[in-house]
Amino acid sequence: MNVFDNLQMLGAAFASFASPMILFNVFWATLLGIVIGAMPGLTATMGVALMTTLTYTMAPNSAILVLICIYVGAIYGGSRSAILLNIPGTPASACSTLDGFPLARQGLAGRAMGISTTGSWLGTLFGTMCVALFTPVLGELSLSFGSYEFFWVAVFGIVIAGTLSGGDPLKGYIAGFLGLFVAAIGQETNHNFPRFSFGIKDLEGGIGLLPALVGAFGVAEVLQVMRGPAFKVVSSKVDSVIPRIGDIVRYWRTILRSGAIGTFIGIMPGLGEDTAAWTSYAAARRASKEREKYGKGSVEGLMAAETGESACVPGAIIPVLTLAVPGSAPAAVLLAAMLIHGLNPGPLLMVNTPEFLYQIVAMLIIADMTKLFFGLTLVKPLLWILLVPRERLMPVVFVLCTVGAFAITSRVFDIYVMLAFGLVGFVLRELKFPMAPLILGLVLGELLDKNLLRGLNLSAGDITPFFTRPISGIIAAITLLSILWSIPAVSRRVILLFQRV
Amino acid sequence: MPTFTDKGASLFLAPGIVPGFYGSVLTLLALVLAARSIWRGALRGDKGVGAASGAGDRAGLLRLAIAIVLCLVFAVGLIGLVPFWVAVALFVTSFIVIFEWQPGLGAGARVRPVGTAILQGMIAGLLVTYVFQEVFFVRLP
Amino acid sequence: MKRIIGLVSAAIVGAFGATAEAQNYTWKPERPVTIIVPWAAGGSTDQMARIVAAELEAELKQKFVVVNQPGASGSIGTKNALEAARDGYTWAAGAAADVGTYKVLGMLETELKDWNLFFAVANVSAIAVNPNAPYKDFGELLEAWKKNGENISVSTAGLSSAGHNLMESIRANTPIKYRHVTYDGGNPAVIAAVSGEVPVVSQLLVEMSEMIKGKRLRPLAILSDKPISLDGYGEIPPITKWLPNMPAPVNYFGIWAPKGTPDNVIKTMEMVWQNKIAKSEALQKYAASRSALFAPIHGQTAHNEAFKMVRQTAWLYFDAGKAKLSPDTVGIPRL
Repeated sequence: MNVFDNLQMLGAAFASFASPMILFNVFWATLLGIVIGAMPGLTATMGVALMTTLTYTMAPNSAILVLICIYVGAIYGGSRSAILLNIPGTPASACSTLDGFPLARQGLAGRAMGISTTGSWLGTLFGTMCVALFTPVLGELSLSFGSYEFFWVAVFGIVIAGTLSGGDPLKGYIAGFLGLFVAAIGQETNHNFPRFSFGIKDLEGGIGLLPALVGAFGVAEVLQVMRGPAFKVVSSKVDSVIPRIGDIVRYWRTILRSGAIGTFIGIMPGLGEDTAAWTSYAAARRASKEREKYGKGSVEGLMAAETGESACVPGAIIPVLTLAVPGSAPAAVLLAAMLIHGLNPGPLLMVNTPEFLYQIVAMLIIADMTKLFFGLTLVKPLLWILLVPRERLMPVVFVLCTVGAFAITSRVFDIYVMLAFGLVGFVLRELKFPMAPLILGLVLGELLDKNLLRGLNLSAGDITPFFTRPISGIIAAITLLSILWSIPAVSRRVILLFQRV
Repeated sequence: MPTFTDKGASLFLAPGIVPGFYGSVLTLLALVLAARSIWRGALRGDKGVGAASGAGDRAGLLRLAIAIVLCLVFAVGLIGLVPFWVAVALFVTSFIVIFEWQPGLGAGARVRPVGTAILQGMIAGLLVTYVFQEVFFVRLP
Repeated sequence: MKRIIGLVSAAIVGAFGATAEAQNYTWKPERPVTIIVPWAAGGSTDQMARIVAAELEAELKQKFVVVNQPGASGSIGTKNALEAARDGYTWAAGAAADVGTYKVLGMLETELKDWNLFFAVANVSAIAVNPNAPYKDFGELLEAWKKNGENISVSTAGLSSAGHNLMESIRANTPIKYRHVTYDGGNPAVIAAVSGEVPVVSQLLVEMSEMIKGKRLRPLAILSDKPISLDGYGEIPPITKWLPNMPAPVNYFGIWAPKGTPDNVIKTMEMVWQNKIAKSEALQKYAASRSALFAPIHGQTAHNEAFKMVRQTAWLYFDAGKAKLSPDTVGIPRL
């Protein structure tokens, strides 16, 4: 198949979506996605699952288009609340609080949202290009990651967690391991043995990531705001809403790096937008010349997080198309929707219906452009949130947190989880323990636990495959080097050594 | 009680291995933290910098306590006891009224803030209930 | 928006055309009905439940909302459905073999006969290998399991998953050993065999069909007494070709509400099952494309059919020492 054929298929795909009805669908679906994402508690996964049922009667392609718009919109929308309120709307945007909120507090909320829009837009665009160009090749990549590799990925995540959020690395590591520990609660998979459940049925199912996140960020934030002195209303300049070309030119390295990392993480089954954001952020921080600004309102940091999480969306769709393996939780629901509509993604896709790949590419581009449109028009109305005094804003935020924690599984138990994490999270925050590693630990805990035991099971207790399998060995080496590097005495000596040479 | 290995499961699949590892690392990190604090002077007699408690801080703690109590009453007590929108309206209204309360105002000066608080509570209650129940199909408690 | 138009037009059609038919239903839900899927969104139960929900919606003119409550092998969501008000507004979805064996496993106080069962599809389990694996047919694999099975890894979706049950029932039938490697779900277990992390996978055929058609997996046998033919591949032999005495019940998937749900609700649902679900093109198409069996049965028939799988599964758990109760104490005789 030559390039011309491909372009022709892409053109045909765009043409097939050029009807007023379909564009109207795109419009409301993206906006709904952004709203779902911005509400603490409602996630992209839930949004896509909800719309799967609601779009059941539509033609398959229109339905998938709506779902992709919801997915793209929700991942983007989560950062609105992260920037304005310091409460991530979805787990994916927890990383955007680190620099987004400080920027907003400096009166630069408009600019922060502009950066986030630019980063997110470029990220999805980058990922979509990867879908269009490399889907068959990259899909296979996800097969080269097995249990041993995922174990190291999880360990690497924990290692970067400690140094991630600025502040004290030691407290970062403690928070990270606390998160891992919380992830261990509930039935493990090898014997269905309930750990730390004390006979409480609900605990056997484990602690949900979402109620924990809403508690640690949302409830704890409400309490912290109410405790502190009333901060002055920061009026934000609206002039810088439009993304600056200068930002793109200045941070092109960061954008490309984050795009590549985000897409790659998206392809990996079991890792999602949250990990993509954290990893891009950590990589940008390590490579940055202005590292001291990170965590205090770094434009580059916010850009990295946003580009990473948004590039992850198309990335996660790549293995869906080639192997019917979802790269993230929302992608899993998207896959289910494709199956329900009788579209059969998988190894035969490129043989039977290659035009479907280009339809997906067209859908992603349409969704991304619509997202950009809303990103630019919604900034002004959103800035009003900053003008609401805390006495009036916080009770509503708390109500939304409660409903959000409840909505995902309709269990009152999740409200209690949220409260517990809110109170414990508040105390930990007061003691200067960062929340980000805690959540990352919770995300990665399952990955680490299951893959370690599975790897040991596969090798009959032999630990050498963890180091000798090529990809596993490389990640292991990077991880060990990162640990050494985080010890000041070591890194200082290495730098000295290089300077002498 | 028979253990998992008695039932023929392999030793390295024991459910406690990974939590045990987390526990050891946490213990180790905690010891390092404690040692570092002592090294930095935790056991010395002076009060340190964090112990200052001024009037502003006491007011902050009071606000914090009120906020926690209100949130708990709402999330544990009110939800499920009364219709959801009533619970939200009560919570939002009382939250606003309590935190905006300025002692020593006449009854006339209170009408406006209290009135808008009730209004906001009602709107929040009805809107949240409507949106989540009718748009997102969540069956609220 | 299209949906709203669809609803409006359906309502108009309903007003002039199918009024009589719709009025036969004595239960007209006034608010959205919840279907609890006790597994994660996107899995095989979830897919089935969403199609059924859409079909029910069209027939009963009310929203059927699918809520995912994963955790503890599906017992948490099932428990919540059991404890909800028995007014017909809360249903659970899942596989009959799970609901039937929670009690034996000590996970939940419930039995298959406690529920009004409405099945939609039945799934068969299958064993497949990586294309590079040396086993030409199931007979060779069986020999290898007998010889040094402890070194042959088999991936499944975990304890009490369909795949694990299949392996255990083979073991109960003939002396083999195998190394059980668990994954987070059917799909990851299948992928592990495709990528070569394990040579053998034992899971539902539904979860393997695309990989088989794409020549990334080689199916060796299905748990059935008849061969099954898969579009784009050909015929897969039944396991009874090698193990003639092996019972081969199928696992039914559907929705259910606890006994005690008002009669008019159940009567209405039975009528919907006959009028709509039994003729559902969407379900038939879905079943055919995913190599599942279309099985729109309900009531006592459903119970009797599903009970075979429950009997087999419950005793497998008991014989493997995983049961908290002996199945015959709760009225589950050996198959």
